[in-house]
Amino acid sequence: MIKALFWKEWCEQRWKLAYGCVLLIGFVAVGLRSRLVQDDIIIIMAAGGSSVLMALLVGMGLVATERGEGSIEMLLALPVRSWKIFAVKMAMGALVCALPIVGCMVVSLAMAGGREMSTTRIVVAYLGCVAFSIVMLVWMVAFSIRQPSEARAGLVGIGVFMGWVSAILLSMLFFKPPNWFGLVITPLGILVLTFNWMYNVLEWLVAVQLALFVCLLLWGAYRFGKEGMVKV
Amino acid sequence: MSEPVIKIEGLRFSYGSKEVLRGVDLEVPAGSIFGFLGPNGSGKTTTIKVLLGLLKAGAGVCRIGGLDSQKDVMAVRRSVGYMAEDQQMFGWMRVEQIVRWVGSFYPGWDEKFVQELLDFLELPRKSRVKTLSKGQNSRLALLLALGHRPKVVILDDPTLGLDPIARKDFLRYVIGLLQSNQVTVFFSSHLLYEIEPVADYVAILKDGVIAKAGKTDELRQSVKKILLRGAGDIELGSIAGILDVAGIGERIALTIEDYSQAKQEAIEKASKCAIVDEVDLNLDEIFEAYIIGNRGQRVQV
Repeated sequence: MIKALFWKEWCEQRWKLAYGCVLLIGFVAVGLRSRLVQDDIIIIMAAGGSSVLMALLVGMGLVATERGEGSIEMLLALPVRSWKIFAVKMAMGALVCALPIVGCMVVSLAMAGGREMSTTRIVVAYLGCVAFSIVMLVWMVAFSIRQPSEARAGLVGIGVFMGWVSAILLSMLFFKPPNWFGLVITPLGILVLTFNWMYNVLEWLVAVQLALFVCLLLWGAYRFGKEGMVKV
Repeated sequence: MSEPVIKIEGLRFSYGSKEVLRGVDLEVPAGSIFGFLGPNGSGKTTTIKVLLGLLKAGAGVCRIGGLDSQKDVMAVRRSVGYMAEDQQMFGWMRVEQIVRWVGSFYPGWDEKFVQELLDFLELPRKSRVKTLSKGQNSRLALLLALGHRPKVVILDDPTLGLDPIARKDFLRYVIGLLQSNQVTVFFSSHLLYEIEPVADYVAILKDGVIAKAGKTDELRQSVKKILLRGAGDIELGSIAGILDVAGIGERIALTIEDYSQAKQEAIEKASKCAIVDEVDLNLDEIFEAYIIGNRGQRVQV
């Protein structure tokens, strides 16, 4: 049963995975090979850009497409708990977000590991972006789960991201560094923490972020099973 | 009436502030074809979705085969075949893929029967679902509802959007497949002529409550149109069961339920008119009388 759900999600998401891999790994390979700019710029662009791009791309299609096409009702009418369907969707979504970034990491390590950046810095940068991408996916899906089309889910995703950036910028007006508010309130904190982990590991901030992540995941699962998903 | 396989008692459901179901009571006998009728927006689909546990009832009890459909949701879904109104499936899957995929959720999936059905329903195994015609789409949805050989099949307006030929074809398949196998069919529709030839029982849902339920034949026998000849102001308010009154030239056409000799005399007495004819009604006309009948207002001839 779970295998069948994974198979369906895999078939629906594999094209996005292929697109993300070709686009992002290609960009990293060309950027690092050309050496027109420093390696860290290419790596930060690839890791940061891919985390947002993949979260948006995957988050738009995970639930909203099925709502738009009407196939969600068939899915929810099957003899399988709705939270299981949601869990499989999120697991596959996380995988599709993570794999292109991991692919970029492998290519970066192979082409530029230790050249200008240490291999540890490269791995940390990419894994931080994997975490960020998955967090953004969860936020986006949790808030856009009732949206009836991909376009509207995409708007919610962009709104979530811009909301984080705005919250960070606003908080900088009121808090001197280190800006705890900015780190706690938005998942961008994960990125900040990851890039600075060697200097200032703040376990409690990671714990707050994780708690928020789990709450949103549960909220998403709860809303996915509620009757608002089905037309009356 | 044999033991009910579907039993609904006092079912209520609200969507926001709007009360969609206002106390539905219904019993569907085992092995019957049950027509669930009602105009658009009367609550047919909502009732079905509550029955399947897709929506949570505000109050009341729904049972299918003895299982509480709000508590034993998974058991109910495993035991029931359900075809949704205008069912949307995964267009990218091939017919054989979606059949295999849906089958993996049902422990009792009968692969041999499904292969026979694919041939019987003339479905192209290799075609993608999105390339199927509306008629083929409906037949595929029917196959997916029947593959685990359920004892209860719920069809929610299954012929919606089909042309008359495809509709007749579909009904032919439904009857051919189900009538001989002692399967209970709960069939919602607003197309009366489609229900009439096949339904053993019917229920009419109006504004979230059951306006009438019973055997199709009994309903046809009990509801009559009476033609009266008379003039003047006629008061019919004291007569129970009047569904509709209409003036036709110098005649009055009265549609009445539970028609009997006693009612005939009461009508003649109240109206001071002679009954000139009794007309049998088809289900379509009975439905119309229940849904839009004026319930016996004063008539001037």
